Amino acid sequence: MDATTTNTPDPSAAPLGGRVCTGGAPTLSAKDKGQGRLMIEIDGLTKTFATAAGPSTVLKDVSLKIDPGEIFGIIGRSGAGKSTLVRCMNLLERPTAGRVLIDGREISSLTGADLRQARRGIGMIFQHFNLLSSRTAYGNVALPLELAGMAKADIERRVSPLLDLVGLTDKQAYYPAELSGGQKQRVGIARALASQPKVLLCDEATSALDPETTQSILALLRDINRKLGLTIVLITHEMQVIKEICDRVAVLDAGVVVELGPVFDVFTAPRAEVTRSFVRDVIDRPLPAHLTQRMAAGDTGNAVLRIIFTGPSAETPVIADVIRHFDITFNILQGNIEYIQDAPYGNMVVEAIGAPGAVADAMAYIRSKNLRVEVLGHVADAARAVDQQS
Amino acid sequence: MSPMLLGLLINSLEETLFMVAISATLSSVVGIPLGVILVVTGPGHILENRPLNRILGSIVNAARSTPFIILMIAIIPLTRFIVGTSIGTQAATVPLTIAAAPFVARLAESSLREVDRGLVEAAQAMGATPLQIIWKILLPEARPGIIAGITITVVSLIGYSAMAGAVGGGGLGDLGIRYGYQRFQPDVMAIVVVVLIVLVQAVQSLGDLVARRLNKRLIRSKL
Repeated sequence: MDATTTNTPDPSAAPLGGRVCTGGAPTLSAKDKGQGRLMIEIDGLTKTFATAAGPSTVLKDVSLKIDPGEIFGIIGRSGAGKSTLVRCMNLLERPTAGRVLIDGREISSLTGADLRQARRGIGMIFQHFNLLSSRTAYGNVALPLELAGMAKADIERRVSPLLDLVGLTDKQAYYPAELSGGQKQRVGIARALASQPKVLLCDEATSALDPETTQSILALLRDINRKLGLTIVLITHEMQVIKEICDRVAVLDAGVVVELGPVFDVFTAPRAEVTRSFVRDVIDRPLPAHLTQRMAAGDTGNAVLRIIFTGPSAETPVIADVIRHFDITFNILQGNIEYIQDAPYGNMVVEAIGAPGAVADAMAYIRSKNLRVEVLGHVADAARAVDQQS
Repeated sequence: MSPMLLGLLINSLEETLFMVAISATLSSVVGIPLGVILVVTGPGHILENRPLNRILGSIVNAARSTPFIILMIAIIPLTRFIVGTSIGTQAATVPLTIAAAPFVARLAESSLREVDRGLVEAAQAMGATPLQIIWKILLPEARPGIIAGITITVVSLIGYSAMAGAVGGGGLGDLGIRYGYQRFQPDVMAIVVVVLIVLVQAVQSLGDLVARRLNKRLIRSKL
């Protein structure tokens, strides 16, 4: 089964409210490969920094369980502690309290050579790529292998396929200054993969890239995740990135995990206010100003409805059914369908034209089909006038 | 110009080149590691050690604030211990090295400090040891800056070496003082100055060229 579709809610289950919330119960049974083993386990992680103004706690009792082969997203506003959290996973920051286990091994207690050895099993890519300007693309990818003391011939055997994987074979003799942002991040990815890690940590890896390049880097990460079965932890402040490739997402706010679950569920039924604001950025597009102004004008006129289609319900022709069965027509004001983890999520704003009783019946019918519908307000007849002309 | 004067000039040039080459090499050998230590023992760096950092910093500052002519006299016993004599060209290399090493250290330090901390972090995330971070990250990345620093040091040493005449070190500066000033031969003085200008110009151009070649942050022309 395709790795990224395993999260799609079972069609027989209620499409809403079926959230598996944290506790770490593995939600990705198909991915577990029957081992039931976790790739990353964070347990009661707290991190306090000493600052001039006194101690500042940036992570408070964070616990996460990440399965092998999963693409796990961590989203938060700047200052939420997400960067510190990901840096605690390879001990670039040492936790003040709590444990970090990678592939069953507690790394938060390691120091010196043991820690360095453990870090070789954890790749990391960065927002600003952090490539050596004095080394070519090839030299940068070879670096971790040189550090591990690998022989030159073995390094070459390892580096060439990696440059091929990230599509930079023809750029191997270029220095970072001669590469574009996307190409630099590809070098960063190849470098992170060189020591054949089980985990790849991505610290705002696409935040310095334009949207198009972001797409190509995310596609590459997804490709690597499928090909190599690599577990990817991705932190970002962009919900679009989470939507694009993550299986599950944790929402971090002021150092606390406020929401955790499969991306589709978090997107379609956000519960924490910070999550709602993230989701609004991506799917709940604001209504045009002229419409909201008219809606604010009064309580009479035609009802403006927002209809939300999720999962399987998005594929049934409910709107057509409503028009056929009730004495009502719809004037579509706004609509879009997003695909989150290959599952459709539709959002439509319509003006319902018909008697109030018929509208109420229609809403009840829509709800009976497992769609969500809410009345946003009422508008006067201007919109209908347009409707009748056409 | 008389053949004798030409001979003196060539002889003095050789002495200057000898003093500058030896002291530049030795001060780099001492100064670059000192600069590395000053950086890596600094606050929040890979081998943070505040007492060591402070002590080394103070020594470097003290050495740099001592006027060269005083330093040269003050360390005569040390010079005698190392070279066996306190006069002559070889003897002059000791104070020159001791004066230049802290200078190199500070210039190297500032170049090393400019290496993006993100690179150090990336190396740490790869499991690099502190020594590997120094060799594979800090020094290669700071190399263009360190080369530029050594160039400045060599130019300064050419100037300092003129004072070496005070301990019988010879060299171009000494020739200029003795013949040009003390024997009232302004043409000798002028020739010495011209030779020094050409020498400094050549050193600076060479240093710039090497630093530019090593600086991969600049985009090479692909044509």
